[in-house]
Amino acid sequence: MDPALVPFTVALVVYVLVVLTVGLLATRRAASSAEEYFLAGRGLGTAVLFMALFGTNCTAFVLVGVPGQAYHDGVGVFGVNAPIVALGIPLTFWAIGSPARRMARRLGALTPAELYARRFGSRGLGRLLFTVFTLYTLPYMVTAVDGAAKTLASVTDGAVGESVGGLSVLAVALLYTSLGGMRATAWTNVVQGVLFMAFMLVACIWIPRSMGGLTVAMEKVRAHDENLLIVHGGGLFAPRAWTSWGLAISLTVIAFPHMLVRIFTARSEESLKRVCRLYPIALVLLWLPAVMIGVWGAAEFPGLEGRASDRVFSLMITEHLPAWVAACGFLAVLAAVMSTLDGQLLTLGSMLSRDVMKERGTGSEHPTGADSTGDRLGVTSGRVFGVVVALVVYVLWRAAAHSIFQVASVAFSGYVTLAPTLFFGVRWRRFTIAGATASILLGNAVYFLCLYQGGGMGAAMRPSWLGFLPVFWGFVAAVVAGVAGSLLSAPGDLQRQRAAFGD
Amino acid sequence: MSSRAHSRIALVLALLLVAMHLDFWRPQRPLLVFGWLPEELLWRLGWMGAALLFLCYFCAFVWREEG
Repeated sequence: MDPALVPFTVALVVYVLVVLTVGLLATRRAASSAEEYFLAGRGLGTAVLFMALFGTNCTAFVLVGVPGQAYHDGVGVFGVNAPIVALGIPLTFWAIGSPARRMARRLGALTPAELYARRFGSRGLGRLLFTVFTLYTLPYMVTAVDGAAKTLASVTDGAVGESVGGLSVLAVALLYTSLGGMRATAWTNVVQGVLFMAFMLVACIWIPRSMGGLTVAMEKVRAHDENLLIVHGGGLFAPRAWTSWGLAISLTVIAFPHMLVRIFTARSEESLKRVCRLYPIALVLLWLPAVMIGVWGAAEFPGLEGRASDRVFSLMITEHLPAWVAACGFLAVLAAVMSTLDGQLLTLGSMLSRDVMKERGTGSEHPTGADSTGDRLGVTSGRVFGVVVALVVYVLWRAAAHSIFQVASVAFSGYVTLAPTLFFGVRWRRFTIAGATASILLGNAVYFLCLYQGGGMGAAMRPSWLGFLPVFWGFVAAVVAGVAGSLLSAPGDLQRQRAAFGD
Repeated sequence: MSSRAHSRIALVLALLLVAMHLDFWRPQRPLLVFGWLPEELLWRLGWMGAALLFLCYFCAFVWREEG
């Protein structure tokens, strides 16, 4: 073996052993009931809940894509993203997550689609939500696998081919997820979150020291291009694009099914509140180093054009950090990929099992232990469908990885069109099936119309009508359609509303 | 103070924070405060500190325990 690969190989083996051990430790409890397998018994305390949410929320994009963007756009990348999500995400946890958690507990729902299907007494609505969730989540998973595969291939100098690397990452995530369900993914997220946050902090201290000190590093940046120290006014930084992007990134996270379902796992309201207070601090600790690595990299490695700037993360850590620390950096990228991928596998598998296949008798109607045979079948089908989802992701990745990147950027904003339905469904009793259906369909129709007018899938981040991003118009349409559709249709069943809202 | 009053205060503070985030009036200067901290980053970090304080207030007085 190439001696240069030893630190990374050792770190990788230790990491895989740790996450698989965590999965194994969670296995015994996971088999006890569907609620335990899919939602960790709704019993996660603050620390694990926070890491499960934050680890799932933060993808490899923050570690690799954000430095790549900051390389071109400077510190403005921090300003357009981190502050507004530090406020927006906790507020959506309160506005949607908290009442959804309580309602899911009352109705015995284990997935987001199941919650809304039960709230409205409509399996059709549950399936519609499942369909949109799946269409937006699969491209995301494909890009994650692709990123992990490329990282492995690049670190090992091609010794681990992309197809083998992607398959291995998917297999490891699937293995511990299938073994231990939600509890395994939550605890592995703790390991993964600690790994990538600790690495980014160490890198943020070590790199400028290696460049001659923080003052010297920043002066190098100013000498290279002082525009990197300000917000320039074009593209995403133009006022209306900035405003609509703030709306998008604040609302999209709660609409990720793999995030919303993790909120269902909170032991108490107090746990969720503590998570909200921790979020801004964690965002600073992760985003600030990511942006600064890109900014310093612009001065150190000028001339990277377009997406080539995504290489700045690996260039900087290889250049400035000792081999064993840099190995942890590459591992941090894999950890960030897997901390999201596991949640997506579990959530899509559980929705497929409970929201689509239930009529065929493969899911339990009594998830809290009233029917132990149904519970066991529910857990088994959740595991089987997790494998199905992983296979679909792998096939999609091998067949269409290149074209799916643009679809993933469309998906990120597309989730926002679901936010009005998720909000009204748990906060407004007069909200009806017709309102929810109209909101989802019209919101997405307007969103895609704006994309079409803007030139196709690549237009998700480009200003459209009146300078606002397509997601803004999709959101407005979803709100209007949800309100109008509800007011124009007959109110829902009172008995069902009382059961849902806990009267 | 009633919970409704706390909710109103929180709404005003939240709107104020959003307005401060949409700070297109602020002049952009490539200044390094203390010789190493870009003025733009200082502003954003200060904003996030204010958001953290707001969330502490919000969780304590507006987000009521239910269920």
